[in-house]
Amino acid sequence: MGDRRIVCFCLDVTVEDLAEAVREGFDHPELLKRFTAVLMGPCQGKLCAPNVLRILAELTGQPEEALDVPTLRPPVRPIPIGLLAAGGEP
Amino acid sequence: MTAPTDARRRGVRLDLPDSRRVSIRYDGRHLPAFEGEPLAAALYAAGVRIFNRSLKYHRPRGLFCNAGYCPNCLVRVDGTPHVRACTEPVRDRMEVESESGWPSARFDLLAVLDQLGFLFPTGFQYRYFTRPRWLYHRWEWLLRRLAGHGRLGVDPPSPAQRSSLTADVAVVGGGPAGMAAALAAARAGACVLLFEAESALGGGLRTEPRPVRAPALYDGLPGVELVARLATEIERHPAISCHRRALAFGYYADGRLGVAGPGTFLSVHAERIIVATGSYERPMVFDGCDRPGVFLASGVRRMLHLWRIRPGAAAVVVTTSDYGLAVALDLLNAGVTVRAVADTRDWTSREPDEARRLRQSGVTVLPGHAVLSVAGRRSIRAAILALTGPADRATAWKVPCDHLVVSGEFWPANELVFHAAYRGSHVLRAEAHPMRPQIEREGLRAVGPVHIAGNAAGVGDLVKALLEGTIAGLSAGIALRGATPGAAWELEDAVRALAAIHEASHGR
Repeated sequence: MGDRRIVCFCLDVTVEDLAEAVREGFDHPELLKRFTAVLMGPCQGKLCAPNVLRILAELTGQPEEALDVPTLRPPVRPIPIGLLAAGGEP
Repeated sequence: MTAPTDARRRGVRLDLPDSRRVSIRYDGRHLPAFEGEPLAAALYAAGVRIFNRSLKYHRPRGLFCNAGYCPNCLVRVDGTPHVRACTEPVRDRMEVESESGWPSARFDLLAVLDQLGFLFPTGFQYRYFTRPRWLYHRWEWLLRRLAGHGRLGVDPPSPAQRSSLTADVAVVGGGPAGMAAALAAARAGACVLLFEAESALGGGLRTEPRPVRAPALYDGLPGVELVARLATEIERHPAISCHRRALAFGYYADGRLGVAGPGTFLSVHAERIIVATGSYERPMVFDGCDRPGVFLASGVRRMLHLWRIRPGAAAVVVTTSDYGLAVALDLLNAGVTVRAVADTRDWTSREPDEARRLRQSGVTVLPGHAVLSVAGRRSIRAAILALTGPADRATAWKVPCDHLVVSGEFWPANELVFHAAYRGSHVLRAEAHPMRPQIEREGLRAVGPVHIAGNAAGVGDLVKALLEGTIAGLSAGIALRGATPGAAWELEDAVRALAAIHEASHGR
């Protein structure tokens, strides 16, 4: 099972999961995010993004600064959908 | 196996809140609580340690960040799913249930999934049973039952209100940078909106017991008192409209800020936005880093200073900076036995003041050490420390403790700045991204009309945050309302003060 240290608390993604994803070719941050679902849970990367980028940099042999940060979209934190509905044009 | 709840309850509260005693129900048990305190505080004081089960492996999870950004404390409150217990205030007769685990988060039969990880490699959900399609739908149904968190309430929620607000300057975040920015912009003649996601202003200052060397009038006050002074000024100021429990969740292409108030959608239009949203603390990755009993250092500070609750009886602290050392001192002052403090830095030449004070109080301080793993599954029993560098198990030292405090780096909470920076391009190239925004002038960073100040800009210092906030607020006010002599002079002063601090820290 390899390195079972948890990187993403929201979705139980381990270091081994990230390594396996990179081995399969999902080595760009946007691809890695979509394949493993890191950065997509309730925390939206607040806990895991720094560690995911650092580990990805190590796995691909690049400096961390060279990695594109995956696109961040609103809402910053989960909000009830009814609130967004109220915000729509009347 | 589990210690009696009496032992846990004894000595957890440092002092009792001022509000009235109420009763809440958690997973069917009646628990005492105090009105208005964070739900997580009440549950923790009543002995709850496992708040949740993780999505895939059903691993037990306990409190961690205590600030509303990790997924560990999500519970169901009065029928509403996915409520963060660490920021939700207690109400009398609240009905709280754990959302994950079967039959409950505390005792989960599905925890066996943690041993079956080999059956679920990465991407398994895209590969197993994909053909024939009918089998995939059955499989998906089972997966949702095993992994889903929360159920929707039965009653429809009450409809939300909508409201529009306009101002010269919108400040997002009521911490040191935000409060300074709001007051400075108002002094420069601007009309200001201030949004704070929590129920009280102050941000990082609320958990800082040491005196803050703040410029101008309020020098040398402990963080908490400084907050009180600044908050009073803000409340009284006619040009500042302060909204608490208001979360700015998005900056949109038409220059609008979307803000979620309690039950209200606020559509905000401001000429300048100052993002002073602070930072998140980065967890450390090690074996068992997600076990109940492992806390972020900033989370422990909130427990001690805001909730007035001790995390436990015996702590081990692992840190990468002076922040963790300060938190270790806070724990000592709260009567917690600090068994060891491991600092990953190897400061042979210059011992930090806090480390010296810890040693003088009898605490074992280990420079050049890191945490390798923790022992314990439902809660931690010990931390295993070792020299940094290639893991050398021969030098590993097992330290018994009931909580481990980890202090990694702080990561700027600058999502709103990213929203402003995209400008139609979906992937932000590394060279242009807001980790290194355009620096117009020392201390003033901006992406279009969105300024960043304080920890949201990567600054790790309360005094710098106050100065950056002042500079951002004055600059915004001057740009919109013209430069009065007083404002221009104050801006120069603040820029000089910030430059002096930069020189002092680089010259060391």
